[in-house]
Amino acid sequence: MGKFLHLFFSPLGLRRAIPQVWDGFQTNIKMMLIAEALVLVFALVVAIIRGLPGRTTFPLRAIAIAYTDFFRGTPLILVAYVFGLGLPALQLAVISNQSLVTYGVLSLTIVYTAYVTEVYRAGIESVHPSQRMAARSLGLTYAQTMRHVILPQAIRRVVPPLLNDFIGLQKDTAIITVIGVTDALAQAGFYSNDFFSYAGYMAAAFFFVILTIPFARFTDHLVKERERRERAQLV
Amino acid sequence: MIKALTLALAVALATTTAAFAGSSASVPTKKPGVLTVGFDVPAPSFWNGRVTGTTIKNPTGFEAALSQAIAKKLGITKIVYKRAPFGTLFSPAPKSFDFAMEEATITAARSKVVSFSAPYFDANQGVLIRKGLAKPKSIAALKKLQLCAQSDTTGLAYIQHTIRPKKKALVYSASSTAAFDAVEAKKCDALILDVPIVAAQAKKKPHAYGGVAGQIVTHEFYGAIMDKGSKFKPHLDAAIKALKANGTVTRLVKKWLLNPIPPILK
Repeated sequence: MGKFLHLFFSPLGLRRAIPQVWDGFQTNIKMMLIAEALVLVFALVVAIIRGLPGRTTFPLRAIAIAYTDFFRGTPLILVAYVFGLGLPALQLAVISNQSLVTYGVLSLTIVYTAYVTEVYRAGIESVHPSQRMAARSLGLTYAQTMRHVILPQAIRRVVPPLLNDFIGLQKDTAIITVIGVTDALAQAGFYSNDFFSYAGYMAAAFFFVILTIPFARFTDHLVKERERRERAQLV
Repeated sequence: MIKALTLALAVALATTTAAFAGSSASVPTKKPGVLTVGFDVPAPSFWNGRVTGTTIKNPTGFEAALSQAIAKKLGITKIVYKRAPFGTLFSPAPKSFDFAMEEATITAARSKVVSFSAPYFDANQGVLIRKGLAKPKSIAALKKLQLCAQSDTTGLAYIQHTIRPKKKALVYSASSTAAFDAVEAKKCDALILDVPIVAAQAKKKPHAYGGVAGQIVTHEFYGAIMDKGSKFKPHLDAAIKALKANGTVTRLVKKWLLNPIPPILK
């Protein structure tokens, strides 16, 4: 037990590790914020494309379906390797000379957009079809119906699962360390190599948890809020 | 015609003056006047220090000291160290550094996509013996001993294909720790593994082992990595060769990696 505490939680080790790990964690924060913003927008676009009506839009729908199927099924670590190591090797003008952090954000965005698309789609489909018909019969166009009737309800419903996926994304920024981004996990690894102590990993865990706990509580709060409102509606 | 001649003269004059102005002006570094060196994660004794984002400040160790000596030789006063992950090195992607030193062995396959400098370190195999064993003086003497190695290493291949010991060698997978423990526990007479690794271990626990008995030449060399066909290569090669000739490289090896330098076993 003493050995365990010493290896993982020695006060001196933690004190030394925290500034070093924080140094790397800033990169995680940067990646998660940019990726989350991009995912929110792109996933909505893909979800809308997937729900487009009519036969002429089939090719677009097919592309959207192929994209979500493919990237939901591919491990993030694999996508990160392909983008982070493969794209620079292509030696193409803009595509190949980005920083590793950019390739990391790109991988996170592409993989998580595929997940979040499904979340949005579930939200859109949960709005009763009668609402859509009612809106169309009032003379609203398809776009207007989506914008003013369907999406406001759909998005509100999916906020909790959406935040849940974002917690996943925040943690997965640590995977980007494999392509050589010096993030919290990399710094924790350097630290443990230097001092034969796992305090670095504990410090990294601490940072990730500190970031996700408020997020989780906020999600809980939203769920409760919705339940309260919907029950109130019933009464 | 006269115009062309004067132009040619002007160019010739400019190049000669540049050549006389000192070496630094003519060294084609990525950023003029600055030497950019790539390192990966800290490698004890090769380079020690801390990575911040993508840069490394004031590293110490063999490769750090050697890169500083190279800069001095080339007349460059400013060195910037950048993190260049090992996994990204062997690709045709343009490099952000002038050269990277990452204990990379020069191989034909790697040379297809990158240029290597002249070797700066002989990555020989070291023989770490157990306590109480008389130091073997030749490779033939190793044949009679209980040898051990780590799986998938040059050391193991050397034991199996060249030494061919009488007793089957013990093979430890995954980490070198298990192999070191076997020598410490006297289950194994001699461990054959990269010489800087066994030397560092012998230094760390001097009373656990009988010391590094010698090194075996395997013709593996570490080289610095550059863009394929880099214009910087002739300058770097000249600097490394000069530093080898004047004994700087040996001095740095002694200071950071091997002290004393184990004898070569034949």
